[in-house]
Amino acid sequence: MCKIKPGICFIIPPHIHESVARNGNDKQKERAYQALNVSAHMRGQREILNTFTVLATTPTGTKRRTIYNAQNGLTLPGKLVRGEGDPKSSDTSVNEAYDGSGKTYDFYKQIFNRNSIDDRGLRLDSSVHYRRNFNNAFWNGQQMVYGDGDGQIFQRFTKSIDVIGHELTHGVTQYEAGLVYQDQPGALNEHFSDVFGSLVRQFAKKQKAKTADWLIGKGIFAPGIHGVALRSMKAPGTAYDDPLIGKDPQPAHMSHFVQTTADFGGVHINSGIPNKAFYELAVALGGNAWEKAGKIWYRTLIDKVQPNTQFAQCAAMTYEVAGTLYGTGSTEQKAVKAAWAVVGINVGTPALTAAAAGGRR
Amino acid sequence: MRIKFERTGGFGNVPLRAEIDTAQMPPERARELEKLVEKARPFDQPAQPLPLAPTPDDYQYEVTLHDADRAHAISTTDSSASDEMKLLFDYLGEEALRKLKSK
Repeated sequence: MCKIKPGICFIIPPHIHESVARNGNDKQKERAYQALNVSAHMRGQREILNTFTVLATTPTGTKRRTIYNAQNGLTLPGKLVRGEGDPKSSDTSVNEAYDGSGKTYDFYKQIFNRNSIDDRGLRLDSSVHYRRNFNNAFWNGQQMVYGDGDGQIFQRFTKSIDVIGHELTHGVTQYEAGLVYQDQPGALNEHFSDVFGSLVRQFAKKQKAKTADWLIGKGIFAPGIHGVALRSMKAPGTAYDDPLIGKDPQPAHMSHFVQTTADFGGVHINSGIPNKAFYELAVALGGNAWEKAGKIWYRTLIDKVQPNTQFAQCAAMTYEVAGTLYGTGSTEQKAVKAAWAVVGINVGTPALTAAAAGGRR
Repeated sequence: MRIKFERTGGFGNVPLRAEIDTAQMPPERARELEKLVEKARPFDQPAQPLPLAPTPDDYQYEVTLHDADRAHAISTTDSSASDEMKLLFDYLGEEALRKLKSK
């Protein structure tokens, strides 16, 4: 990844790299971007690099996006193809990654006053055309990575903006709550990504909670696959049913919780349960879902959730946060309780509230 | 060589499971697969346990390989696999899908 000496990342101030990245020749640009990239990545590793904090964490306060083309290879990030403010590319995936990460940045900034993934202006790096026929998109701890799909099950993953919001939110979760990617904490990690991924799409399309479709990955199935999307927050388990790939396995209630060792303990399966609870809350509160339901969930993720938080604890945390934001016994707090009850999780009892009190202050 | 292949997880979590037998594959594809096996050396990969820190939307693989005189099971993630193993997994994934589609 780092083709230059790591020390250079700290010796040359980032604004010099940025200037070279904008004005240098192609080779200089590539090197400058790599240096900026490494600095940005270093900022992510705050636990290791506390000593470098002052040098390495210069908040920029602005939206900075960089799109790379992995050229169907395994090497990340790949070739730089579009930086912040650069003109449109002739490559649809590049433009979708650029626009989608921009819209996600705007969402977090305007709604929650959050400055990027780390709240310190971390540059948003995306690589498109990763591997051949690659049926996946992921956050690798440092950047977003998108496959083209194989054209048999999936199309390109940048096609749906909620996928981009989902992947970026994995970055936010990594910085804030550190949810372990396994079993219930892993399903919560997935859940928060689905929630804010969906909210990014609703924000981009100016949709109300009641009229939004609450689908995740709409339109990314290849033609011929019977399904509207990968997941439905409104009706988990109903997004697809196809002879080749099977049926959407998501439960919508704790009584159907799936015990499995696959998918890291069903992280993309059991996330249906909290997803449904969030949908119920957003619709009950009305208006734009990000105004109240989104705010409660955001503050819960930022202030309360810990690496090993379980469903019931997370639910109790949202109840507590709703009380803090809107008042104990408020309509909003009651709606949170009612929404979790729909999926079989009870909150607001003394025992569970005490359990949640172990959360971060 | 017989290979039991399972891939779960990923953003889409569309599970892919199939048993692949090079003896039943067209010779050209069987040779291609064997070449990828030679490069990736899956029999030398540690079997257990699953690495503790998958990255979000990682793939999870459960693969068992049998050849004439040995059998070996691997549990791993895409993010922790070597480039050679990634290429092997991608090829196995395509073969698995081909098998499912031919059913």
